[in-house]
Amino acid sequence: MPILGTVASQFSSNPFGSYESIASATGTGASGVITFSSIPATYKHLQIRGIAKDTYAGAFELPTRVRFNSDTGNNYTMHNLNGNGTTVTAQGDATGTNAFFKFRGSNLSTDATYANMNGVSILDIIDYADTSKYKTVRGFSGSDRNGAGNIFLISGLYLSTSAISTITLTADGTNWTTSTTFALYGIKG
Amino acid sequence: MSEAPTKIVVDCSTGETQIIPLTAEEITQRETDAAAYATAQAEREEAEAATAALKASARAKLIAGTPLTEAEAAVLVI
Repeated sequence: MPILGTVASQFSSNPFGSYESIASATGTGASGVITFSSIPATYKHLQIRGIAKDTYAGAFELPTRVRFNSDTGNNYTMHNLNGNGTTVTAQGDATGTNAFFKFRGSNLSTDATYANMNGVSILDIIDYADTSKYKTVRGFSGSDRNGAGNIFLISGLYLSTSAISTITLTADGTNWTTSTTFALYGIKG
Repeated sequence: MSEAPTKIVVDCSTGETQIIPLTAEEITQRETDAAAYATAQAEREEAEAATAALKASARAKLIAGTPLTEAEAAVLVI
């Protein structure tokens, strides 16, 4: 039983050290692509936490396109479950037809209906540096829009055994606004 | 003349952030991705609307006591 005043000294320098911040990036309003490069292979898993809005003017909730290692081949598959408060829908991709993950509902457009509102997302990339298996992805995303809203549960598979060292997040509309931030975390196993 | 599209690149080994113009190949890829997604999204919305219409029709026929089509029955019974 720790004695008050000595608790801190009983932990290492990273006492609850499951998560460590690796990097973060904020939109500029003039770039539609955010890339995390040279990701160290020293963690067990990765997590991206995002709050996103892009400069597209239409009234849409938009996906974030996620790509690993700049791989533009059809090596990404996904299933998702979507609830909007009334209706639940599910969708799955056909085999090997996608050149990126469509991280649905993670991003809102700049339409006036969505003023001051962003989409939010959490994306886990499991065993990202393991070269003996394909990479599993799971995600949560969505937005509440004061009377409307969506939530998405997402599972995905990246059909590659290569360690992931680069992650690219592309706005489906035009550019990431300055209210957009993506933060990359490493998770120790 | 519009500005060239750019990307924000964060080097996780150094913490350095750079804003770099997209290459012609990257611009083409981005346009291809957007077109592919728009097509897939339109197809998905069309399918969802068709299913919703079938369900509405099936419910109305059930209430009225009239026979359902095979497609209407399929959306109600799994």
